[in-house]
Amino acid sequence: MKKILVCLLLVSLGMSLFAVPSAKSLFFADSYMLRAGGVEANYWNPALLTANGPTDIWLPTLNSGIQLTNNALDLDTYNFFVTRDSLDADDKERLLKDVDGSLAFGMDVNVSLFGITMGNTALSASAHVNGKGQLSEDFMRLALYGNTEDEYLFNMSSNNASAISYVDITYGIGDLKIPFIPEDWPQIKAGASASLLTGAYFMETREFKLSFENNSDVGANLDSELLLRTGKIGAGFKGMLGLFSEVTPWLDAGLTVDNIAGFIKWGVESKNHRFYATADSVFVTDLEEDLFDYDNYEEDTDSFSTRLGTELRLATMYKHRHFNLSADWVQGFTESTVSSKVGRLSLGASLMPMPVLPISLGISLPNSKNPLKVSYGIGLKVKTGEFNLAVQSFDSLIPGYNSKGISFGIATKIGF
Amino acid sequence: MKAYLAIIISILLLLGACSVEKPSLPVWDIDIKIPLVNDFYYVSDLADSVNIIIQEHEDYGDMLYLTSSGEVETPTVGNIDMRPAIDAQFPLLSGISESQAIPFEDGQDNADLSFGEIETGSIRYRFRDMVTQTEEISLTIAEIKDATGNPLRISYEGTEGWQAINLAGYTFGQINDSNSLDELTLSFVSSSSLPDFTPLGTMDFQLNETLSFSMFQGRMQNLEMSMQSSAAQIDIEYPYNLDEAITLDGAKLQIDMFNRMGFSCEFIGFFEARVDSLTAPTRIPIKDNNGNNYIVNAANADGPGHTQLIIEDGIRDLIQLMPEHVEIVDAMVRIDTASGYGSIRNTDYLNADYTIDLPFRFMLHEQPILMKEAQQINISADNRDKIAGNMQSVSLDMEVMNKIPIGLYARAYFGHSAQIDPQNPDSYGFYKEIHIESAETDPDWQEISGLALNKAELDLFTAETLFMIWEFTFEESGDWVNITAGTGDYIALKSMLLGKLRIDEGEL
Repeated sequence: MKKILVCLLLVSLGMSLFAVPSAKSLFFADSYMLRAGGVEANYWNPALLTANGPTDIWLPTLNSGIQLTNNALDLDTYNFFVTRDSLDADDKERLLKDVDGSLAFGMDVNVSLFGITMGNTALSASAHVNGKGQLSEDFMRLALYGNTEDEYLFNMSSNNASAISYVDITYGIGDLKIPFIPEDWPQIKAGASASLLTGAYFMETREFKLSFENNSDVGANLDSELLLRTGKIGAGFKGMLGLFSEVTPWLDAGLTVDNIAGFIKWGVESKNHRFYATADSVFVTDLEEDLFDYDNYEEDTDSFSTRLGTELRLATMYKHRHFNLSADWVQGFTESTVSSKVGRLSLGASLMPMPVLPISLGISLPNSKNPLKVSYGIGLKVKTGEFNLAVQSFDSLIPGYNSKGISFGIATKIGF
Repeated sequence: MKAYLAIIISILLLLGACSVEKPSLPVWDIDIKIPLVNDFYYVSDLADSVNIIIQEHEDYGDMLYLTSSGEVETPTVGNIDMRPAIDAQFPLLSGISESQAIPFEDGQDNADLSFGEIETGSIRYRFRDMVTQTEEISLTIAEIKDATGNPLRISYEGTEGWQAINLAGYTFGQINDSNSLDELTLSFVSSSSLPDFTPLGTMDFQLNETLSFSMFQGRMQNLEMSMQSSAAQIDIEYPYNLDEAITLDGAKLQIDMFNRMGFSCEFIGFFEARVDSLTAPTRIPIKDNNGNNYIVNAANADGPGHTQLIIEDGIRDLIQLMPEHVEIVDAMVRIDTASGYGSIRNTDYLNADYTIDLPFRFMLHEQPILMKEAQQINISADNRDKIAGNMQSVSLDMEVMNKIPIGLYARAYFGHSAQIDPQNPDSYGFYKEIHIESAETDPDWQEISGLALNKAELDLFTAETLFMIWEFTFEESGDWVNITAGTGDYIALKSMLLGKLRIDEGEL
């Protein structure tokens, strides 16, 4: 079972899973641009760096989140699968019925290292680990039913894996008033942040093909090739620009452009790993011959860069004394590890039945690359700080047996 | 506010109520299809150039033949011995020059010499009672010559008493003279100071020891030489009851004899077949169609005399026994008066190469034939565990194209003991049978069914050692079947191994 999980995590593919910029965004299903203040604004909208007061502090690990998700299997199916002694045909179909072409797994971890705001500037650091993979439905059928077909074709579009881990050190400046704004316009504030990125490890599937033909006329023919590119220790940069305006006392609006010139260049160790396996008209009776030709080698390559695709985020928030409502639209300009050209809408709400007990809700509407995400959070807020817990459910309104993924986040803030 | 709290608390309760089971892998069965074989098995590939060969049949073209070869040969002839019985006394008179013939014949009446080269032998003579006035006495034997061709000459040198002349290297008679050397001509010359015809003494002459000729020309009364044979092994393990299941046709024995002797010979021998070491051999005499022994041609100036014997009578019956050994036994050659005049050297000999040939031309009968020994199958512990734990069933998806005019049923019996008796179901676990139609019945692809093992049958393979034995039953042919070995004579086989494999944590 462990092997399966490892394989599914590492060998699968590209469901687009976006890195969690900061843990508390989990509380609102990423509808968080106009809610992030203080240190968090370094990652969401630097124009709001002073929103939490003059000083805001992040302590190590106290703002962290983790996501584990897939696109097909919910908890009920998981429990069903691991509690069965054996699987019959109906059980197998139950496992496959929600796998629409491929089974995608993803994992994202965000851990705060430190953070502090000083006036309208902030310095923060956090660690990120992101991995995702994809396994085609045909592969799963092969594993569950055996090689019942005469021919199988697998390619990289449905079978791939990637992983990245890096640490950012981000400096931001905000609360900058935009000059030359007509007087009858609401004031617009601006901010910017720059992140130095230190990459630890990167792996991606560059090429994958596998064709397998198997019948009594031609025997077993196999043609497979896998190319993985890995990098260790890299350095990079990304920038963010943000605008914020309190349009009315009850309505805020904001805009950010993230990942400007974003990249991580992997320079200390860059390698290509190639794996080949071929078989030509193999029959069991050819035992005196080598049934399969297998070869693998690795070669150093020139250093390469992982591009972080630029994203545009638009947000608005309606504020009330006892609640607020927000909507965020994020649109990437390129497909990359952290961005998608498919836009996504997130809605968030914060309820304050009691000021010391904030309640958060969020929903990220599904699209072709992302499942429905619904968040629930609760916190304890006092004058000098706050502590919050949140849970996020994938593809299910209520976290439970129908969830196809789960996220947990904790957020702690100390303010002066 | 209470409503909000209720919602949040409900969600947390729902979440807290979710149980996440401990990861555990269930087992499931998958179907596996593995290409087993897709090949053509040509009849011609059965030829091993030793016992099975391809040979052109005058009526049916290239056919498979069962063949086996052996050799027999005589030792070298050795010297031909004669034992003349000459013991003569000659009174010696003065002043004479005369010749006298004495009979020369074999005291054993074994050979009539015309010409011969002596390997060993001697003449003894003595002069006695000689007078002192004797000046010269010489004896010349014209038929005995030294290596330079000079006749044997004996002279009186004043010595009395027995003396011997070693005849090694001397020849007797005239080479290539077909007439027998029946007598020796002794020519005496004498002189003395006494008047002619005065007695001078006496000469005793003996040629009565064995003369061994390394080369002999003449006629032999009787010379027999036994032949040593190397058994011809047929390295085929015939299954039980094969002799009942097939009737053979066209077997023949060919013997090629090479005679280095200048005499024609009579060949006497038997052809013997042994089924195994426990069964008494069966033999037939090697004779011509008239029941006479074969005559082997003599060597001539061009080289050894070659005689080819082709024998068919009785050979089929011997091979029908399915012997593992065939051999020419109790063989000898004989030179006698029927051989006539001839020539022989002591290094001459006779050898023969013999070959038994049997075309693959059978009449098939519907009798089960059982391989003699069960095959032992050792199964590793790892594979036993896999079979026991993971293999649920297995079958073969097989198609056969049979271009050979033989149809058969094949049964494989599996059991834990090597003593598998198809008649005793307790001696084996199970058997599987397939049926292949002959080419005349179905020359196209035939689906072969019946090759599936269920879980209970697979459990037999969880033992460390397993035994399997084949039993075949031919379809009754009703007529002669020829197994030709051309490019169109083959069995094509393609097969997939189909199995149901149980996947568990150990398999991953």
